[in-house]
Amino acid sequence: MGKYLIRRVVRGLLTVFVSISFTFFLLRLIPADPVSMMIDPKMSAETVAKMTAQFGLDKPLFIQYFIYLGQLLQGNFGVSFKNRDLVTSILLQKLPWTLILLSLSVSLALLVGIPVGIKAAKKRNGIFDRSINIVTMIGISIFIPFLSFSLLYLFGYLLRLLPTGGAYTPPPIKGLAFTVDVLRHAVLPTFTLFIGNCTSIILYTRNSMIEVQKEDYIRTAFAKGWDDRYVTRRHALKNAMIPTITATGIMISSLMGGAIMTETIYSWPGIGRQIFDSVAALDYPVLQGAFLFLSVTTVLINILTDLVLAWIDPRVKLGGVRI
Amino acid sequence: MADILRFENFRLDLQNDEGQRYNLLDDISFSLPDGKALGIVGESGCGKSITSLAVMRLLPAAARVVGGSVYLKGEDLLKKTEQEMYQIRGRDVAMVFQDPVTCLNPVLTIGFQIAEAIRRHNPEDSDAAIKDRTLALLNRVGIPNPEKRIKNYPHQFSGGMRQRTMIAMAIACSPGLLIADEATTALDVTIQAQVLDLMMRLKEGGSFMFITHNLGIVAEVCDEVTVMYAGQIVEAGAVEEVFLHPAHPYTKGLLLALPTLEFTGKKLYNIPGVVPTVQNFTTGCRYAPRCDYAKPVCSESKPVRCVLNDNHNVACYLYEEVRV
Amino acid sequence: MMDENVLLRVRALTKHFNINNSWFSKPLLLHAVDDMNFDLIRGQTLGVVGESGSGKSTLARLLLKLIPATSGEVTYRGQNILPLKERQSNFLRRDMQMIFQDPYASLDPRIRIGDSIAEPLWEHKLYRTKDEVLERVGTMLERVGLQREMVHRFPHEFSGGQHQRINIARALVMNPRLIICDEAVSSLDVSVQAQVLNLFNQLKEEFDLTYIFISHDLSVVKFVSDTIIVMYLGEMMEQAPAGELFTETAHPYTKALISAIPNPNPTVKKKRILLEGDIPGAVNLPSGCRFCSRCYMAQSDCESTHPELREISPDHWVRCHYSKAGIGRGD
Repeated sequence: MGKYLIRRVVRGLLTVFVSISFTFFLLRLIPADPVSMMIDPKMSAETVAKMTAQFGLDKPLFIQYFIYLGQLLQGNFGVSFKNRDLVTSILLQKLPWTLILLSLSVSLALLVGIPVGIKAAKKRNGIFDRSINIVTMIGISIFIPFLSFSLLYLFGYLLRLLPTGGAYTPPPIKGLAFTVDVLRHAVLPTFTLFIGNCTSIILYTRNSMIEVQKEDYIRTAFAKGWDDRYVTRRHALKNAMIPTITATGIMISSLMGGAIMTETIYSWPGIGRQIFDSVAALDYPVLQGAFLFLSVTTVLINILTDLVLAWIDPRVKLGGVRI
Repeated sequence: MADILRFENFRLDLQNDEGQRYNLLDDISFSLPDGKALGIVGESGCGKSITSLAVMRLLPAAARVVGGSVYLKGEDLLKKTEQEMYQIRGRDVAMVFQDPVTCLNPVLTIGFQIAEAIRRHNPEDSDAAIKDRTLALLNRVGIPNPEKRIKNYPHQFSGGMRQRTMIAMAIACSPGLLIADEATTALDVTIQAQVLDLMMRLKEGGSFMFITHNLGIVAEVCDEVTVMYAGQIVEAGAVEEVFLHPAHPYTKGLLLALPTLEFTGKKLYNIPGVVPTVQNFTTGCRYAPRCDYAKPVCSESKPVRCVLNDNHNVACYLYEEVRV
Repeated sequence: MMDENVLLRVRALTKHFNINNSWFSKPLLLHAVDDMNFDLIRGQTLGVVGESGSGKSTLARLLLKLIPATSGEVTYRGQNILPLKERQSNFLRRDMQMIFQDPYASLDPRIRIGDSIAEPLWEHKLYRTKDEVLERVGTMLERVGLQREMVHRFPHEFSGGQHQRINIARALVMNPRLIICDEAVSSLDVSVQAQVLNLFNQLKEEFDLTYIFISHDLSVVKFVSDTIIVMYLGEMMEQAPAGELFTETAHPYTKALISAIPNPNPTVKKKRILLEGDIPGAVNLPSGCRFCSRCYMAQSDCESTHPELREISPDHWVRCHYSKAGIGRGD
């Protein structure tokens, strides 16, 4: 097991390395000059040159790359072009907000999605299943900005029930009232993410339950005299969860930084929003830092998912040889 | 001697996704006396597997029972509620299925899967008592090192051992009737011999129904045999009678088509034509299209069962003179 | 010296799979096939019988060069075909064909059977016009007992037995010299099996074919074969002319196999030899005889000394220290 983990970690580091290198060069392929975002048309050419040099952008590409790698190894993730803050502190500030949305939407998606998926599979092609089918079809196809704006319009403007943006109404206050305020602000973005996640979970669960129900070992369990509820709970569920767990792992990875549209529309100060802003500002260091963060989390989540799957499914032998 | 199992005029259709219905089992009637072993033999599509599943009431989704009765110890299983069947399965009748690879849950231990067979009908037993019974069962079916093996998962067992596990689960509550559906087909020949031998030893006293396409197994293991073709019973009786003096053209053809070890000829007997699928069943005797002796009446209506002697009956117009 | 009658000469054919695929560990070898030696006589059928793990399917794939061998020699038409590159092996693909077990899986369901059969003809440019190809395919279909008009049908319109006939037609259309049948009738019903087996024999005469017939079913193998090889865990345990294998059985494993076959004659009550335990895996094999863990005749040196093949009578080879011909009689 230990050997397996070491191998995975090494492969993970390799993945991260490739990812950040890729990011580095890809960003610099953007045909725009980051310095141009920061200057005033009134500045002199001299000042511009000085600024460029300050950010190391005048050096040849490969030199910049090695400097970057060197800084990384020292734990220096750079400084934002836009506001000169440390990249690490920027990201760390945004991270908790993303985590709030992530944990709320994923937990709700699992809590609702799994039972719904199971029920739809049990009475396949029944009324429940067919209505769920329609709902999931809508859920998958819906255009996120459309959904977000409609919800904002309905609940934020027309009904004035929920706030229209941000994570809290400033100034930040302490204690329970703050938590409530944040939660109020989180309702709409969480719901938007929840729609997509829940739909996925329902589909995966339903489909794998249908497959599992057809399996011979289910018939064996019935042959022993057990009833439907026991057989579903004890035999079908564990096997049916395997694809769902994989899907959940992927979902979490992508939500880490991928909820860009949602966070931006709701002005939620998470990592996705930060990425959006940094792209607009051509803020390379922040983007590099964010993508580095995302690769690391994805690798970690993948390893975790594999471990969970190995725990559930005894046929999976981690990195070993099965004769 | 009372019959432990009796099928009376059992009819069953298959309905596909588009709603089309085809009759598969046409008037199946046979009985199994208590304490005996009955073999149901036939080629693919003849309905022998579904017949056995009907006893367990574990029919596939496409099956539709049209009529008839299935009596287990005198009680019609078709009239039982699902709740009542939960009691009957495993306790009064149990089944060993064909493919040990797919019939065991891959994520649960062998010990658990055997224990739950015991626990289902013995809910008051303590965990320790159930564990003891599990180990005893593993011993009985010839699995060495049972203490270690109960913690194993199915993928760590070989095919023969998995089949032994299936047998252990089936006999866990000492059912009166044990059904084996092609239970050795997926096994290697030497392993098959072991498993057959095991089942023969375990059957002492109980009743046994063996579904297979392998005539040799039926000859060795069973007392009586029922031959099915395309959902109809064509011949039935004591194994010696049917195998040594086959009456129905199909049975004769089947026996002649087998390359046995004693056969020295260059050419096997060829039953012309192919085994029909359920959509292509004909009216009357369904074997008529392939039969060398077919008469016009054969395709019009199904032949009645003719009794040849105490232990042998056949459904064929060739034997009309001896009709019951 | 090359015997004109020997189509294939196999010497010391071995295949080991390395099942440990990480860079950091020692290779773990699976001995799929070890030291196969036999001559395939032209016009004859060689039956190869064995259970799971015996290596019989791997042997077929080695002979057809579908997988590379670890060592050994296979001589065909005077040259060792194993080291040949794919480009140089074209003639092999014409001369040697294979029929597989699962009739349904062997045909592409989206291609009409006529096109499936014609595919190798186009590939090897054996005919020039479409009409010629169609004529050839139609003839083949008739030869295997189907109708010429079925050329335009799709595989799902046929039954299992008919599938196998189509596969046979496809194998024959190239006019091969050797056909390897890997469990070709195992998934067929008894009545259909009889038809296909009869067809094999008939075609052998008609087309001057040589067969290698692989199966786990000894009764079937006995019916079709002139010579039989019994394999266990990758090694050849016994080789004999078909009749002699049963009357003068030498190897204890062969005897157990024969005894395990259920006989449809209920009056024959034979004493069956039951082997202990399961078939072991072909990894970490003992240094002695591979069968000794289950052998009812095993002696103390069977575990340490590996038996070699010895010829106990003309064309009858056995790999056993203690076998004697005739243990099949009156035991």
